[in-house]
Amino acid sequence: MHGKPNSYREFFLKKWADYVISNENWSVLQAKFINAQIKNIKSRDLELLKREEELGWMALSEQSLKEGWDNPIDEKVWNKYLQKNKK
Amino acid sequence: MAQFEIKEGEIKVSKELNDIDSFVIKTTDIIKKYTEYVIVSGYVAIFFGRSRISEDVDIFIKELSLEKFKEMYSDFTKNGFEWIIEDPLELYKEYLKKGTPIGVWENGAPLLRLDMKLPKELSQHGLFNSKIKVELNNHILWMADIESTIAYKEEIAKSDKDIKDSQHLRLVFKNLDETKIKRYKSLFKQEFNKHAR
Repeated sequence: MHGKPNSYREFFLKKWADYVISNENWSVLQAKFINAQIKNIKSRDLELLKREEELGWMALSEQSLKEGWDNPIDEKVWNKYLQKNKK
Repeated sequence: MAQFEIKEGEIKVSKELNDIDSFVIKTTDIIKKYTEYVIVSGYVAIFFGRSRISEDVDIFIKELSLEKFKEMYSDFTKNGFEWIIEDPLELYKEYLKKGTPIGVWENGAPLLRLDMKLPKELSQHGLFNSKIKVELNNHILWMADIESTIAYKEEIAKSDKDIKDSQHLRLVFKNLDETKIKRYKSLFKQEFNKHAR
């Protein structure tokens, strides 16, 4: 191996630079590598967005439940209903 | 294939376009109708083979009037791009003119963003005089010269990613002008220290 963890990346950097200067079609590999990374990040972002949207809906439903329970107007309506039914 | 070499400020490159290259071509094709530009920093290294992605492409544009900016703004939006703020007047006055970069990206794809700003420092204005003409397949791109890119990354930016960008450029280019790199470093340092005070 190549000693410290960092030196592996140095080794790769040098190897890759050598590949770039010694191969006419270096950019084919570069395009595959870069496009795959972008695709990967895009799909992760999409998952994150979906999750955020889900959390957003959950927060909204919690809020509306809370409003429902704590609403004094609803309380009045409920009490009226109880009184009406007692009679 | 051999090492890259800039001859009389020009270089011809034929390459398979990756998604970042295509994005840069689309955006600079619009910008060039309204003003001059110079691409700087990370994308310069990526263009010449560095194997990493970037979320933003940094670019300096030459001073342009509000009217011209509004035209460029509309051109981008008509071509499927969105801006960081949907108000060209605010973008121009509150951001661009005050030295803050403004971002533009393809609709629904903010992962890859073009950050443009106006040059303020002497070195940034100078980039327009020393820029290199890159003939890519059938396109022309204007980029900061390799020496200034290396100097900026080694003297100012200095992150792990920046140092590796500069190492890569040093490996894939031949006949780099070390005196020029030193001169750039000293200028960048002066400007940086002026702001740090």
